[in-house]
Amino acid sequence: MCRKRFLLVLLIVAGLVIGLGGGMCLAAKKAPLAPYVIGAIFSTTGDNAPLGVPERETVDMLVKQINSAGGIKGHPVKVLFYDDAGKPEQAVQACNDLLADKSVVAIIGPTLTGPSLAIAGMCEEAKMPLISCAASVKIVQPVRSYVFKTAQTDSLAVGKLIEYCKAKKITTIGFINDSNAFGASGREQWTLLSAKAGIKTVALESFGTGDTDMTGQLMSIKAAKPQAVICWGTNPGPAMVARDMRKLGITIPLFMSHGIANKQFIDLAKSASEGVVFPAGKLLVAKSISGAQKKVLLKYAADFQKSCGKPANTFGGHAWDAFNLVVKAVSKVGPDHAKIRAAIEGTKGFAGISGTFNFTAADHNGLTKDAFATIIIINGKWTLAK
Amino acid sequence: MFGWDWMSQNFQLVMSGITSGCVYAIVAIGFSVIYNSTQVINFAQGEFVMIGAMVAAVLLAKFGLLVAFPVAILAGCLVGLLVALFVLIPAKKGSVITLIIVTIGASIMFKGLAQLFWGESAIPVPAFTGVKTAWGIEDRTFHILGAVIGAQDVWVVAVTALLVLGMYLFFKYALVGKAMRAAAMNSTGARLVGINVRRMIVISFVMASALGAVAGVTVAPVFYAKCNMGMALGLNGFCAAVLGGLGNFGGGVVAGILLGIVEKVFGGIWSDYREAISFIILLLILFVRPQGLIARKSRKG
Repeated sequence: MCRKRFLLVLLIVAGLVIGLGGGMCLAAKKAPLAPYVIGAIFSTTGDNAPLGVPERETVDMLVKQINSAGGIKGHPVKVLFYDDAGKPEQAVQACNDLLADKSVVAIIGPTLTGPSLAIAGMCEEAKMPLISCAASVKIVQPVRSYVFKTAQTDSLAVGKLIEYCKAKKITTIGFINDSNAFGASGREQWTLLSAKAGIKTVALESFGTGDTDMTGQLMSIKAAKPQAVICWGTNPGPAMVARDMRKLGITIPLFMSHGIANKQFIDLAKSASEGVVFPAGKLLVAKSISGAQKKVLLKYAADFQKSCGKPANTFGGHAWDAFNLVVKAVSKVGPDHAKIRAAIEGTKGFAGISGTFNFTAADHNGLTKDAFATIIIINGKWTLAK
Repeated sequence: MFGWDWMSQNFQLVMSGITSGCVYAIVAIGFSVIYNSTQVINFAQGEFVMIGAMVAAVLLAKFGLLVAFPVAILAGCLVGLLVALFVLIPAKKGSVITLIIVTIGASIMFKGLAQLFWGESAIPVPAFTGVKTAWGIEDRTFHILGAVIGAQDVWVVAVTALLVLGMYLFFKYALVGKAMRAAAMNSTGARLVGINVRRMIVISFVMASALGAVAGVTVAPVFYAKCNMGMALGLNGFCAAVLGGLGNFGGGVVAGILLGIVEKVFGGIWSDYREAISFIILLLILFVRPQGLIARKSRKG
């Protein structure tokens, strides 16, 4: 009896020792290194959620991929997500939070130009690398040493479209833009660059994000008799422009911006989307391009479809680029802000989703207009325009 | 300059203005129904239209009009009931301004919930009597006097006319309608003759939201269904309600349609400032005629 009990105790003690020891052994082997923390500010609610949501989903997916592959040299990657709802003041709040957190190695986002400009100065002052996903050239011009961006600058899109107009010998344009920041910036670039290219803007109109019908604006454009119409905006406005042009029997060519580079435009405009020409990142026509980007684009499209159950879009691509630039820099130089900055600036020939990046001290976007392809919608499908 | 082209152009603008004007008119009636029974401006009014549009987006393509309309009316009634029972009546002790702020809160909540359920992008909705094409159901168009009109625009006008007529008959002849008017004119007096004022408040919310939802189903094919569409519709409808004299149904309808037309005509002339136009008109009218364009017949009694 007594012996039995003694044996039992011995067994338990032995079990405990082995268990603990084994546990400790495991712990020692898998001791997680401190995570590398990346801040992310996206507009996942509000009017521009269609841009911000895929950005967040993309980063979520990439974090899972990288951590299941062992992180960056054993350090897991952790992303702190903030939603700025498209508002500069909320982006500033989020940025303050992230700057106060000493473990943050870099910030990616915001989604939009306004919030990006609001925090660019803050990051510069705090020497925190920032890679914005927004369109406006003002984020990187004048150059701030710690501020970069991955989205193609709108002047590049305008340049691509002007190239197309010239090829088609179109010299008069009716221009209509969304009154949001994206549309207003596109209009500014268009006015500037089209004048230099000798293209005349014979009508200049705009519509509000809440607009439900474009008849008034299109009637004035029709009256000015341009050779083609350019519409610069984000859905659903451009779909209404296409639809109402078709309804009013205006048959001149319709050109748009990379703001309609998603399936939603075709779903909304239906048959009126036929023949619409627009510049956009090469993701939409990944199968028909050649070069270093092709493989990256096809992999991202397949991964995103698998993980989110919907097609990838170029906005998510901007976040893909920003996240991977940070990861590349951190795996090269570690978590030091100044070194990360220098590593990003030194990035050359990086084939991303938005284009092939070649950063320099003077160019913190690193893209040329060849980041865009000119695309035409035929039978509801994106096709490279000739 | 004032030839055929000019005529047909303006006719086109007027016709497309009437479509949005009809929605403003229905939203304005909603504002007035609730204002009459509670003195509250219900800023969630635009969200009722959004809910109707979302119901249409979910049901119209699969089940057609005969299902979408009743479900939208039911959903509208339910939402109105919820707002009245769980938001307005518990907060009834507060001042009118508190209640107005509460309705703004409710509107933000509906918008947020809609984004959660239906996502943040615009959803295409098939036209009621459209043509099937390779891209889905697309609206038919008619040419009248040089203007192009979509079949759905005709639907919007017809449904609005029916709703307005229905409201008129209800308030004129139905017992509940009369009781609601009585409660609106003098709630103490109404209580004295045995009218349950609280019930009238609930009924007014249910009616206003059902009206909005019906409007939402009807315009969804033209406007698309979007979770943040309610805000602009609500504000324009509010302008129409004030222009027509708050609480005055006929005034709201006329002002709503006028506002829609002015907005379109102005949009053709000077589109950059088009969004401001309804508010500029509102301010001007409030300076000149604070009682609204169409003054209410004496309610001093």
